[in-house]
Amino acid sequence: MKGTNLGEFEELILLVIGVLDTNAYGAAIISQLEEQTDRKPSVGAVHSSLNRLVEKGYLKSRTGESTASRRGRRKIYYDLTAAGQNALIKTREMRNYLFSLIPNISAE
Amino acid sequence: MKENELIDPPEWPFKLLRFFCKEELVEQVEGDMMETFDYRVETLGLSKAKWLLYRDVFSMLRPFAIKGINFKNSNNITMLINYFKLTIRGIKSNKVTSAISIFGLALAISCCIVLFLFAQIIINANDFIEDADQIHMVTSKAKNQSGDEFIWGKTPDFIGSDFEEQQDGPFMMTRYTKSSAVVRHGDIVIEEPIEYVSEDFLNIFSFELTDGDKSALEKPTQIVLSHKAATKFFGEGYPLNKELSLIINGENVPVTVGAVAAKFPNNTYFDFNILVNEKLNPTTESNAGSMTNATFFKFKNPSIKDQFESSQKNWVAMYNATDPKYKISGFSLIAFDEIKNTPYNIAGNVVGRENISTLYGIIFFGGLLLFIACFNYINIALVSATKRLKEIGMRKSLGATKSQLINQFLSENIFLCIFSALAGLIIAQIALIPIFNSFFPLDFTIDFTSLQLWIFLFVTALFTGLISGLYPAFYVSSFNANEIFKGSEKLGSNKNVIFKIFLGIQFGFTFLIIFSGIAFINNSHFQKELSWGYDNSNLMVIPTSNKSQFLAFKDKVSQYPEVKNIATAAGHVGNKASSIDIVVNDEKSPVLTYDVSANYIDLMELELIEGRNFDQNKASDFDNGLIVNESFIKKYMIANIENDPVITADKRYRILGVVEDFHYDNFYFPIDAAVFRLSSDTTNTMILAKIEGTADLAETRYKMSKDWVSLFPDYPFNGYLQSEIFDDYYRQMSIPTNILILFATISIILSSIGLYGLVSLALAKKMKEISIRKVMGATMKHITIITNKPYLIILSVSLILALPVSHMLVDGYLDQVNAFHVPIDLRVILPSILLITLAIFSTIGLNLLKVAKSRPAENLKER
Repeated sequence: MKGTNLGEFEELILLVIGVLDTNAYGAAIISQLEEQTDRKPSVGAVHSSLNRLVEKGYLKSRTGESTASRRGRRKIYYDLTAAGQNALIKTREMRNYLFSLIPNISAE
Repeated sequence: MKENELIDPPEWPFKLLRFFCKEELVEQVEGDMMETFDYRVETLGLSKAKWLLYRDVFSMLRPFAIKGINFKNSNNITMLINYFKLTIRGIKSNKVTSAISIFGLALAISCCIVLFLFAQIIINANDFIEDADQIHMVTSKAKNQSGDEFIWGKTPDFIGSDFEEQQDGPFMMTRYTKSSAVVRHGDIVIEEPIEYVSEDFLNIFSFELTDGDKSALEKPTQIVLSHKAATKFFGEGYPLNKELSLIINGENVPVTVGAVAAKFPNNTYFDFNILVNEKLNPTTESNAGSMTNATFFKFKNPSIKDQFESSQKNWVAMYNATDPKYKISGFSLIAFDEIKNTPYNIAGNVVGRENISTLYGIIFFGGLLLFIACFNYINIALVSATKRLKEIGMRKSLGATKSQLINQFLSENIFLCIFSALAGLIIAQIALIPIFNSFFPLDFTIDFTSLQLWIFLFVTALFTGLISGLYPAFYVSSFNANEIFKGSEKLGSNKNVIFKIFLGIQFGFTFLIIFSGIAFINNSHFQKELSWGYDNSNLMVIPTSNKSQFLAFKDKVSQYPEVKNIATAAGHVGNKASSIDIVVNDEKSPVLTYDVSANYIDLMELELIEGRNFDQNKASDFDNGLIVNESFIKKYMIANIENDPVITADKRYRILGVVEDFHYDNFYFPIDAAVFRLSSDTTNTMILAKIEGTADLAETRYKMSKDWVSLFPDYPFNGYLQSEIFDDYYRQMSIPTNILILFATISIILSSIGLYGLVSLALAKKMKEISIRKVMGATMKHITIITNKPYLIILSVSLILALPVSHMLVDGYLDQVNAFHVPIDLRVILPSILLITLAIFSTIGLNLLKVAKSRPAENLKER
């Protein structure tokens, strides 16, 4: 297995997939990212991260249905694995811990 | 968003994606891109969404997604980078061969780029017109007199008018009628083509305007100038609201310039010169039978189509009731963006386009040059591989697999081709495009922002790289490491037969191109020297438009000291002819007829070979005298001119004399029967002035035009020199000639490079043998024979086969387009053979020079 650390963008994608719950697929992830973070990630960047996250074992994919706006192409859904959820929790804990160590920022 | 509102994303990006992206990813990624595209169209707008779509496709150019790269082994990337370095090093260490191969490929690719620009014009024809799918042209289905159906661009005038009232939803229509008018601005008086259109014309067709706006046509007193017409009348000045006058049907109509269009793009197949509101057209709204050149509708609502279907029966009946020449059986609509793809020809179509066969010709030539270049490259790649045998042996012993070696060679090759493509772009930009622009009235430019261009370049480079690299890669990688180190691996031993055949084909093609080039050059010389059958020099022709003009100007011209002689005519050779119907065996056949004054034959120096000239003192000559040409005598088999009268429906003519055949039309056409009749100045309209040989023609012409303007300021001076009448023809003929010369030069260069590569490969293989022979005292002549015999045989065979084929093709082509062309004889054959042998021998000679200079001791040393 590859290294288990999460890049910033990877973390964002994992979070968005979590937010989308069972409805996370490429285009939905992109539009969520655009709406929530004001970034305009390229399809290539998103798919390359998805690909890496699957390899790290944080994501599972399953084939879904197609819709009119996909002009007949099928969706591939991504779901968090237990390892993926774990990784998110760990990153968050680590962040919170480090955050609490910063003396000049008040916790509120 | 409702489903029927989906805007389809452009196709190109997806094609590119499918080309490089792993198959298992394509479906998912495409779906995501389309969905994201729709989302972005809604939130960001169409153009931003398109832009982001292109970016997305390029963003997929990542190792994990590209076909053929196995992500599990990330060493591949490092490897590719290493191969890239190797390519650069290879180029550096073999400067000469690399330069030759890059130059050859670059030259071929630059030709392909120019041909691509041509193809782009044809493929993207009229694409600057917006909403082309909503614009529809009405076509009529008609029958000609022999009962054959044809599709006609012309439609009756009334077709839009009643339709407009029944429509619903947004709808616009315009008629487009070609005509001409005398246009006057200050001193400038020119007869110009004009187009009568309805006021919505500019709303339908989105021509770019540099001055004024679309509403210009709403006022009938305003006209819209094309860029060309505006420069003609106003130079680079600011023409908006300036006054002009149109002389339509002899009436002076003052108008102002309401708008000026930008210069039309190269790919326009639909344009205009001067747009005039159709209310000024004196022939409209008169009768149901009058026709307009084209009728266009613009609508979004498909229900208009149903209404069109239901009303067209009435139109057919209405039109046919006027008893027209061609009966119409129905009307149909064709979308503007479909017209360029229409497989059939629309007769009299104003949205003309290049024949699709031109496109095939372009692809054929591009492919041919690329083929020659690839073949050369294969040769050179093989030659340079001999220098890398040890490297290959080493890599193999260290455990490199065959596929790794193939990968290495292929990727090196593709890198090289990408360099070549870029070099080709530079060659095209600085050399080839200026040359082509000097041939054509078009103005080619490379649009470096065009995605199509970059995709084309990339695909060409990839394709060339694969085609030219596959064989050398497989060949080189198949060597056995043991054999290499033992020194017993013989290079180029097995598949040389295929190479020789390729070489033969390549030289055959080159010969064909050279042959056609030389035939065309000879032909244009031949035609320029060809006698026109009369003396065309120093002859001014001045057409006039009415009786008083004719008499006054004839009088004026006769006072010029440099005018030797004056004749007059109603019909004149090369300008205008009428026809009489001759009855032979109850069948009428029309014959070209010129009505001329009595001294016309003398003034033109037409050669009278039998009988006598007109006599203007004989009333009978005016009444029924004819002078015919030789073709007439042959066509109607007249044995004796005095006894065989010429009979028409209402008259019997006598043949007074026979003149030698003369060219009344350009050399595309054969000479047919023609006759002269005597006419007097009461009907003649043209003045023919023979100028003294010593006079300055340009000055005389200028003087005449000045006198004309002062006498008739409202009419254009249309005088011309008789020697200029085929200038357009010569210009047209020079285009294929120039292109062929250019292609011939390029293919000679490419083929010589290829032959050079092949011969030096053979020499490298035999260097030891040659060295021993040299040491033992063999002469260069002997060495030449033993090294070059196989090539000389194959080249001779190829030339022997190519000669009759080229002869047949070129002769056939010239026969088809030209009634009068140079005979394909030794004057064409010898120079072609000479040129190609020169190329072959100089290439071989260059190699032998290397052998002659080489030191046998060096070559025989064990390395």
